Amino acid sequence: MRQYKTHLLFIVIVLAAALGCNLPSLAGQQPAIATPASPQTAAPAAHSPAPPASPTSAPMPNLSRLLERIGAARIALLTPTEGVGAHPRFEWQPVPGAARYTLLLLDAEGRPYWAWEGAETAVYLGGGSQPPPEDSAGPILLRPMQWYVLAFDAEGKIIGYSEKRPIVP
Amino acid sequence: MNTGCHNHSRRTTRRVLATGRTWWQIILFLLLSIGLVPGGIIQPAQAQLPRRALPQGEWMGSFTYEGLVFTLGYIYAFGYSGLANFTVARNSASGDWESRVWTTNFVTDDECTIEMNAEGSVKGVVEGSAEILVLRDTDFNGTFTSRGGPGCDPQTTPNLTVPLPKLDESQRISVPREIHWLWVTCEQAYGRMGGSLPSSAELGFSLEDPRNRANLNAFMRDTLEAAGISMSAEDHFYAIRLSARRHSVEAAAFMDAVNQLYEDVSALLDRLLESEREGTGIPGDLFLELDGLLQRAEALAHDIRRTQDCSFVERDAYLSLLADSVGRLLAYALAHPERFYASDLYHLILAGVRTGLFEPRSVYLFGTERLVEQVHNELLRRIEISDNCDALIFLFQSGAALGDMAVVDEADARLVNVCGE
Repeated sequence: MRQYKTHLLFIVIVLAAALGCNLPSLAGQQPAIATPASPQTAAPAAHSPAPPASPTSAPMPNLSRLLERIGAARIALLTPTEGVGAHPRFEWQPVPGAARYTLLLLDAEGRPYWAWEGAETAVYLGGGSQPPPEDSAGPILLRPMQWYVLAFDAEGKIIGYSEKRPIVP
Repeated sequence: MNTGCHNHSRRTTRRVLATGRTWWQIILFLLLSIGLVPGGIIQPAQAQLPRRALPQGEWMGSFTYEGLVFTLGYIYAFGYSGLANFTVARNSASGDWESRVWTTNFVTDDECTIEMNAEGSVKGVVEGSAEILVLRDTDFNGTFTSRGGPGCDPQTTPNLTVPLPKLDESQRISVPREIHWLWVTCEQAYGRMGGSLPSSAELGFSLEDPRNRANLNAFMRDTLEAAGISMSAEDHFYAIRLSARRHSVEAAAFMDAVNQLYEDVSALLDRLLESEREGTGIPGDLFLELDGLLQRAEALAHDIRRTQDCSFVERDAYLSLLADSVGRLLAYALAHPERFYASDLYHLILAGVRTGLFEPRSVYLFGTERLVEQVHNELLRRIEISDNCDALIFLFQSGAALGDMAVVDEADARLVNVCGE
């Protein structure tokens, strides 16, 4: 009986606190101050939803020229373009000064299929430095795709890029 | 049953100033600890989610559930971590589960900081259907401890260690936890436990009047969401059909690794929120840590076999363990654009692609379409206002990573204007 009373008291207090009191320490939190690379103060623009993806086989000349101009290195991709199986090993030439690389694998329509980021210069599809088991539940290469790599220095600046390269299982 | 539980090296703790009386605080916390152990409240919104049915067979589920409870100026953290074994028949599920449970809090009153913990285990049964599992508790054991810090008066804040009292069925308020699946394949399933984010529902555990409970929960939810801490509670239920597990992999060890992975993801999200509350930038090693978590998720995926009936489409059978967590991280970044550089967004988008978050052939991932649209809008917004070449390059690459040609074209045009190319 006493326990019931205590429970009842607790219920009343909790309800009163929640409905009648201004809960401290949360609602008044100010957003953290950050220093983004570009101003982020403008209100989000109202844009329409993303249109369907279109083929991206042609590289963007503006970006390539810009990357060349800032001294970004061209990365040589080493993985054969054909006969690589369902879990290919993506491999590329290291870039001097690179701390990290990103890899993007796109389907024939230019839609992203798999991505990876790390310090190594080779990775198997699905991740890791060892070939995944053939029957593993991760992503597999069943049809022609294309891939490319970017290199970043320790400060996160792009210092290398590759062209897109086809890959066929 | 082996719970697969492990010691929590991380405890979500929150320090808040309180002005109440020490004994009253202890009693309140004790009550809360007892009350948290049995069940939660099911949010009405959850019931409206599309339902997915588990294929028949033997399954093992791993779950963690952590959250905060707010009341009277205190913030309590609690967590569950456990395993469930269950069988799915045509339209019913049955089995059992066991979980470690903890609640913890630090209360500072003048110079005195009191640490209060409750810790124990809960057992229960799995019921429900192939569409919605129900975890109902049947028994729990635990201990409550209270310790005063150096500045505390031992007379008013004695150190306590007492067993949590047993409550009989009529006293306990046991509300079943429902699992709502976000995605289900023939090999794996991922869902959320009853009471979506945030876990304000926990506060309503003792309000038997549904209207009071609904009011209270709505109030708490609004308060938390207004404060931008909708990630404050992490809950997940990951299940694997035992036939899909590689025979060389011990089931409990696999599930333990899954649980640990989710706990570490939860810790990462907690750190992000903590940095926001403290007014500091995002953790410097956020992306390195995320990368490590992704590698662990990929390694675990290798322990799951692509079974014959799952191989009809190349990736339908696969969804990363972390896709949902990366989705939450990305949603947080979109809600707090001032905290993230364009390069941060790029890395998050890449993590999304890596986990299959944007995968168009995914069986089902709740909210992905909306997330893609939000990312698209945010990228365009940043392109429009950016006068920084490095940022624009990242925005371009973000569009390319998403296969979003509208973003790529906009970034390309802006690069010409801003950077002279």
